[in-house]
Amino acid sequence: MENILELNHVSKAFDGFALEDVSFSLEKGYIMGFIGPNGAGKSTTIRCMMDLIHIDSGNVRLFGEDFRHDLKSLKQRIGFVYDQDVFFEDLTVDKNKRIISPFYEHWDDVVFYRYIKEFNIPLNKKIKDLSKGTKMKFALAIALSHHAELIIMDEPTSGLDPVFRKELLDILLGVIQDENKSIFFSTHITTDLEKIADYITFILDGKIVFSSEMEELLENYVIVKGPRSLEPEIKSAQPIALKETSFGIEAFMPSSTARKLTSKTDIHIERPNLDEIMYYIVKSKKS
Amino acid sequence: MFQLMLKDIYIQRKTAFIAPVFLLIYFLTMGRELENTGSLIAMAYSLAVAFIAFLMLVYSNFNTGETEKMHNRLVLSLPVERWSVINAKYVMVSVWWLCAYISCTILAFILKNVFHEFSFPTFDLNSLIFSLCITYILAAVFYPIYYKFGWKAAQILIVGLFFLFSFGLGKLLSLDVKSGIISMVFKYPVTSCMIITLTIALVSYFLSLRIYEKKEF
Repeated sequence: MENILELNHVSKAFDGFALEDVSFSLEKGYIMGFIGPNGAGKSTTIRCMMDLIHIDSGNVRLFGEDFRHDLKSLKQRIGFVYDQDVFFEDLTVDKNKRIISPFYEHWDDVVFYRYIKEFNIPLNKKIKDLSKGTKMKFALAIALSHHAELIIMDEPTSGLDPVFRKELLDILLGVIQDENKSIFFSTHITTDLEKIADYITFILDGKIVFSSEMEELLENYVIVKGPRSLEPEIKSAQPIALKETSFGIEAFMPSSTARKLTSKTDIHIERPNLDEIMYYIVKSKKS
Repeated sequence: MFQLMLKDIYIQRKTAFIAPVFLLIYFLTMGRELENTGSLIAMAYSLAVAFIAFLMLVYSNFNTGETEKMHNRLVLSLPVERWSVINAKYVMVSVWWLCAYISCTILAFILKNVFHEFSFPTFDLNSLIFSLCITYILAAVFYPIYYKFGWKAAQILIVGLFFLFSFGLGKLLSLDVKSGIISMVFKYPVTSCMIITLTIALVSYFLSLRIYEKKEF
């Protein structure tokens, strides 16, 4: 399968923060969720991918080509949605569209106005007068109106209400029906990703902790719950993280090591969600 | 590059196109004072056009309510090369100058023919070239500083430079220099001005390009 996005050993150092040896890849036709706590390096990685910042070492490949080779052509095939307000705030939606559309060779006005109608975006309103959700819808309409093959989204759901978040996820699921399109979606709201992502890449303190298939990831870890009396047995399985709760002991560990505890009758084993995986891994790295 | 130039025209405030009205008092007072002074009046008119052109140029860089960083993030996420952003900015200097020249000429025409109050040489080839050169020199100083330190630093410096230009040129014209390179400048003012401008603009262009290529957003 063809990789649409590939980062190989990408490093970038700043004062007090660094991306270190960041590597992962996304195949054509899939959605990758890029997760990590605030300040983990998600936006910085995206800025590296878009060549907004220059990497110190490693390489970024887009559509199988080195991104420095012909970035202008490669960007024709990318749609971007950023968390910040990058559009012209004092201009109307229509004027913003008139400025941006000529940059794209495959811009499709029919598609754009279809999204504008579907998302209920007022064309004559200034960007600064739109709500956060409508601004995001506008950015999405722009990203989807030039037949981009890769949609890069930086925290598109942060600050949005649950209704619009659900709408956005439905739109993305619609987009991905075209097997030539891929979506790279960074967020710290992991519940959004469980519904749509095929792959999850987790970044923490500028380093990739894992990058794997969603199903495989959810099967790889378990949460073991049991009474305090079973603490020695649980500890002997070398959990990644362990905490005491009002009901007893709760441990986060790989599924493989949890197997030896299944014979214990008081032990309860649960499949964690993405939020819990992120929480326990962050906790274990910090302790 | 053409799309980037169009973008600058789209984001320009409409008020910038009628900016020469701000110079109404200047035109009326200076016009009378400098009447029949030859090259000095052409220079004063060139300065006025260059000032308006520069004002338009500065406005076109930050007038849409977003920060410089966000603006550059948007532009560089679009299918453009960094060098074409700089190319567009330097070509746009001519466009802003042309807009300023046309609007100043219209204003001058109205003042001269309707109110009989104007004596600047509006269709003078020397003022045309001088105003373009001064605009390019101001832009040449502005852009590298703008890209390196941001617009506030660039604005402060450029206001100083504009006044230095206004007073310095007057002083230079009143000097009685008979030898050396300065005398050549006086002998062939248009050619000298074009050569000086071209040199400064080229140095500035490469400097801006180098700064912008390295800049991170």
